[in-house]
Amino acid sequence: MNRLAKYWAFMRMGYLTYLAYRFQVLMSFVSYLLIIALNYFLWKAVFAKHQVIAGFTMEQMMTYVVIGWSARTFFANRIDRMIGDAVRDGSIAMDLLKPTNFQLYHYFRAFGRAVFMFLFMTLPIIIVASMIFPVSLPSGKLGPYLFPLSVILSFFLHAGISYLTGLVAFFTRNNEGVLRFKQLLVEVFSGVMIPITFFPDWVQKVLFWLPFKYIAYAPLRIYLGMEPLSKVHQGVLLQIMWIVIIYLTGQIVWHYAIKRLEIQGG
Amino acid sequence: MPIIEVNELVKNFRTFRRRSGLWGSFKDLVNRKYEIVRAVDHISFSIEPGEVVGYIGANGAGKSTTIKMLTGILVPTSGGIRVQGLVPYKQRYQHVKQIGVVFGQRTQLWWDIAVIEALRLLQKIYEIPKADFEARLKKFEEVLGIADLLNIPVRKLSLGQRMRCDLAASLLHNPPVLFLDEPTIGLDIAVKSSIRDFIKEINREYNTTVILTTHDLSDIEHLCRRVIMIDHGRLIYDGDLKSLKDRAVGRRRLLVDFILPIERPGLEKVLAEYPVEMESSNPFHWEFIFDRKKVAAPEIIGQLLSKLEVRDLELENPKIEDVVREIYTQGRQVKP
Repeated sequence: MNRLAKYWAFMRMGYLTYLAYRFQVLMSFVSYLLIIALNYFLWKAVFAKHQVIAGFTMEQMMTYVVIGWSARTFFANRIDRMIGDAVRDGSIAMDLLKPTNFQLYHYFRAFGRAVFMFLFMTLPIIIVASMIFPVSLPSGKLGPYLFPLSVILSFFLHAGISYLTGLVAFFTRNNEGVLRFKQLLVEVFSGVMIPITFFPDWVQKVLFWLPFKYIAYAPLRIYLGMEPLSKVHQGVLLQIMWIVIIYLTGQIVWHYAIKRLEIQGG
Repeated sequence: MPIIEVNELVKNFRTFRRRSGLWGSFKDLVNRKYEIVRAVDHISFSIEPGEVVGYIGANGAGKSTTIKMLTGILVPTSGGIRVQGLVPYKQRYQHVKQIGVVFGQRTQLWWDIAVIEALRLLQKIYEIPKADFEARLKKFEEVLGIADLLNIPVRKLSLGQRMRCDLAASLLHNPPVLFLDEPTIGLDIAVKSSIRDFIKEINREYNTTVILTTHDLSDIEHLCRRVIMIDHGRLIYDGDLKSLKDRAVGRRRLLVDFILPIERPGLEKVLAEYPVEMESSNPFHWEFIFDRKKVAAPEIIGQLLSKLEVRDLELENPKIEDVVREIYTQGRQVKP
C-alpha cells in the first residue's frame, strides 16, 4: 500500500508542475485548434468528390481528427526529453538517489501531467472543436466505455516507448536524434495524422506487428464503432500485451544503462 | 564494526578523443580513439559509526567520483565498497533508503513546486510514518529556520535558502549516513555557520555518520576531527586534522597593535632571546612569525606585554590551505 502511495505522489507532483505553467498550456491550446482547422479544410477538399474514402465518411474523418488530436494532448509525454536532459546536465544523479523504480517514477509523473492535460487541454479542445466542426459522439455498444480505458492504455504504451527512447541517452549521452526519429514514427504510424487504412496494404501488415498503431488508431476505431466486438477486445488485449513487453524491455535495458552512466560535472 | 568500508577502489572513465579538422572528424566516425582516465586510484579507508570525516582534495582530485560510488550512482571499475553492509551499486534500492545525500550544486527539491510538496513526496518515497515526519519537520524548521520558506516554489528561493531546505530534505528519513558534497559552496558566512551548527547537532543527537567534501577548509575545521585527503585519485593522507596541521605547519603568526610607534631595532632588543621573524607595514602594527616547536606563543606574548604597551593582539592559527598546499607540493604519502 505504501509503495502505491509513492507513485500516486509522483502523479501529484507531475500535475502540480504543470499547474505552475497554465498560461503556456493555453498557448498550445490555440495551436491545436489551428491544426484541426487545417485538417478540416484538407479533408473537405479530399471528400468533395467522394462519399467514403478508405472506409471513412467525412463526418467520421472529422471525428477522427478532433478526438485523435485532442487525445494526443493526453497521451503525449515528455519522458524521453526529461531523461535526456537529466543525463546531459547530470541531475539524473538526484533521481538515482531515491528508492524508487525509475521507470514507474517516470510513468506516473507523466501520468500526473496527462491528468492535467486532460482537464486543461483535451476536454476544452473537444468542447470548442465540436462546436465548430462536425464531431459525433462515441458509437457502438462499447465505444463509450472501452474508449476511455483504451486511451489510458495508449498513455502507458506511449510512455513505455518514450522511456526506452530516453534510456538511449545513457548509452550515447545525447538522445536528441533518436528522440526525433521516435517522434516521427509515433506521429505517422500511430495514426494520429492519417488513419492507417490510408497506407498501402503491405505497410498495414507491417504495422500490425508494431506497437505504434495501438497508440491512436486502435482506440479511435473503438470510438467510431468501426470494429466488430471481437476486434475491439483483441485491440485492447494487444495494447496490454505491448505495455507489458515494453515495460519488461525497459527493466532489462535499465540494468545495462545504469552501468554505462558517467555523470557530468559537480 | 565500520559503517563504511572502501577497499582498493578504482574508477576509470573512458573519454573519446576528438581529432581536429574536417578530415579528423571523418576519421572519428569510423575509428574512435578512446583514452582511459583514472579518476580514483586504489583508495582504501574505513569509517566508524558517528564519525564526521572531511574528504578533501583539489579540483578533479576524485572526491565527487568517490562520493558518487559510495552513494551507488556510479559503478566502480574495481575494488570493494560496503556501506552499512550493502554494496551500493548492486543493492541500490535498499542502500539509498539508508543514506542522505546533498550535492551542493544540485537540488532534490522540485523547481516549480513549493518546498513542502517536495518534502511530503519524500515522506511517501521513504515511507516515513506521519508522526515521525511531522516531528522531524518541526525540528528542522526551528534549527534551520525554514518555516517561512516551505510554501515558496523552489525557483524563487535564494541559494542559501534552497540549501537549508535541501539539507532538511536529505535528513527527513533519519539516515544513519549522510553524504555532503560541497554543501556550503557559494553561501555567505551566516548561512554557512547555521549549516555547520545543524550538521553538528544532527551528528550529536542521532550519531549520524557524515562524509563531507568541501573547498572551504573552514568547514572542515569546524566539523571534522578526521580528514581524508586525495590527490590525482590517490589517497595521500588519512588521519586526524590536528596532527596533519601540526606536521605540515609549525609556523604561526602573531599580530600585534602597539599604542606607541616602535621601530625594528627596539623590538629586536626586546625579543633578543626568542627565535622570531618580524614584519611590519607601519610602526604601530607588527607581525611576528615563529616556529611553534621552538618557541611557544605565551612566551613571546608575555615578553611583549611586560616591556611594551600593547593595544591589541591576535594569534593566527595555521591555515589549513597552507597544509593542503604543502602536502600537494610534496606529492607523496604522509603517514599519520
